[in-house]
Amino acid sequence: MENIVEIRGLTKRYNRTEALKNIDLDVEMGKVVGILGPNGSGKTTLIKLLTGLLHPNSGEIKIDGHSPGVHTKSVISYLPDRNALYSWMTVKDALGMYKDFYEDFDEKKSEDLLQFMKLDKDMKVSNMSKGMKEKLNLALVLSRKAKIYILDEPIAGVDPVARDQILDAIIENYAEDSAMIITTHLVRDMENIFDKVVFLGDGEIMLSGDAEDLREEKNMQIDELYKEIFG
Amino acid sequence: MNFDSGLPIYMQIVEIIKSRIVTGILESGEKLPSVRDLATELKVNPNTIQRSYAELERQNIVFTQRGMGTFVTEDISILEGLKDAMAREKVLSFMEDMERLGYTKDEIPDIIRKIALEGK
Amino acid sequence: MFKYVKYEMKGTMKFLIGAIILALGASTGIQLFIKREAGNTLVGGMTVESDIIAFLLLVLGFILIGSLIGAMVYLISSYRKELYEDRGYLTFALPLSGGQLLGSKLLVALFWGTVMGLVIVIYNLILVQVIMGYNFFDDIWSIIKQIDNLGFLLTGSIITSLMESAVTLLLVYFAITVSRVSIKSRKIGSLWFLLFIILASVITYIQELIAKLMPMYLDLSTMGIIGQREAYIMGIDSQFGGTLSIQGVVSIPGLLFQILLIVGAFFATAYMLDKKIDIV
Repeated sequence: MENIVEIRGLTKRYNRTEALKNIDLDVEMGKVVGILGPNGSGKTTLIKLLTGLLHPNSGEIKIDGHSPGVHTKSVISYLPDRNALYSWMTVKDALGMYKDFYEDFDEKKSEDLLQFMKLDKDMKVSNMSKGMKEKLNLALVLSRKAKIYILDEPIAGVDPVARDQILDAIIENYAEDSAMIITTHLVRDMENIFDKVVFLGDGEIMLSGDAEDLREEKNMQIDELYKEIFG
Repeated sequence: MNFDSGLPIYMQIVEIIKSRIVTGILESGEKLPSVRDLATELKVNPNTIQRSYAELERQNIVFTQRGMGTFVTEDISILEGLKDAMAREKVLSFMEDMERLGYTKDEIPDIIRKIALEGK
Repeated sequence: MFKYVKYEMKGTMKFLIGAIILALGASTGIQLFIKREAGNTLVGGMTVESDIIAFLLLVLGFILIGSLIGAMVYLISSYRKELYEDRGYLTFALPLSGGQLLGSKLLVALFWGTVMGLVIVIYNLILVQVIMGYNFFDDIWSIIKQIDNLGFLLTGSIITSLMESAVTLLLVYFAITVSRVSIKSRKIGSLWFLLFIILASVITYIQELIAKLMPMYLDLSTMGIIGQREAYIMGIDSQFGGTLSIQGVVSIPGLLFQILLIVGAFFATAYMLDKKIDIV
């Protein structure tokens, strides 16, 4: 399978602290990759380097054959770890923006997802609860037929019902002609949807591999392995 | 759904489907749920379900018809064999537990008979 | 290309329309009080009321100026917010180059500046006619009729004033972006204003120096190039830099310098947005 993402020797520093140290990572098309690690391990830094919000100090990132820029931003569907929709927006405005900026936006799919998430189009984003904002952002992100979906902590801080809805939406929208990169520290809730897992600690890859192979080799589930590595 | 043993998830799903076949939830010749539906039901990656189906196919328990889906085999002997194998596995693990409790292989049938009669 | 303009407009619309309404309200109040004051004075000299009216006039004046400054600060902060607030996570993830984002912000700010200026001036002229019964439009029209080469002068003054605004805005954007790139702390980030003042002073100085060293002017009323002597005769200050003088004359080197500045500040800022800005 072709690699849609290739990372070589990636290093990122904030002032003097190294958030990521010499990371190498490949993501294959059609795979769901889990980036696992506690808070502050460098997960979000890695994601933001991929989405072009941060610029590396050294190393190389190739996404769909390009360095992060306008092209890669057009093929990445990104769910940030916070709501970034503008405060004046209604759900309708947000849909309009996605439609205007992303050619791969599927209006029909967005209608279905909004209905599934039970969200009203006329609602103002700033009046929504945290769980609703998370669901709206995920609905927008999954309404695209993107090559790469990058979801940063998609189920953190939402109630169990919303958590299940979000997981269902992710599984149902999985497609062979795309790849997903998902960060989480809630490993037990999400481990079953990963093909590959990467354990990130203190800015370094502690362990990575095929999730099923790791279960077989270590004779434990990924959640237990996570506790063993970071516990 | 949480999978707790140390087995890979696809193996655990293989076991789930086998027990659905043996208990008659899935009948001989019946179409298995689509990969995507089962993925949603069990909340696992569709690739994992794909792998489970491939493993079941390798064991001749299911077969795939192009463009139609995956079906439970119509070969009764395989299904009987599957039932026997599962029974055998259960019995073996039961015997292991009993031996740990201090019963010998010879005593086990006796105690089963005794308890089964009490129930009547 | 400028898809982002739509969303910048939508986002700034409410505040700017509010500011314009406030400015028009204050203008109306000022004119009404002035008329009343004029009436009072005519009848019986200063009254007790006039102190209050003078105070109210002052307050209304502040509101008028305040709405203009408020609009300016708001438009600048709309750029700054992209670099410092959560909305940047959306904006900088859009398939949009730094140049497109910067261009959109610049266009919308210029648009609102023009609209606000025109609306306030025209409204006040109409109001003078309605309240005071004096027709300014006739005066303006009679002045305009006497001007030769009106088209050139009009186009020239529109272009030069837009350029002047563009230079100022781009220097502000440049200063904000440089502060963001070099200083990570949000608090010290307000140093951009200091940087802007220094930049603006240095640039004004250089522009005047260039105009002084190379006295070549374009007279828009004749579309001819004139030198130092003619300029002196017309009463043009030798320090005069780029934009249109009252006499309808522009300094050619000053103008070129300004164009260079616009292009330079634009591309430098766009480059930083693309390659240097970290959204943290």
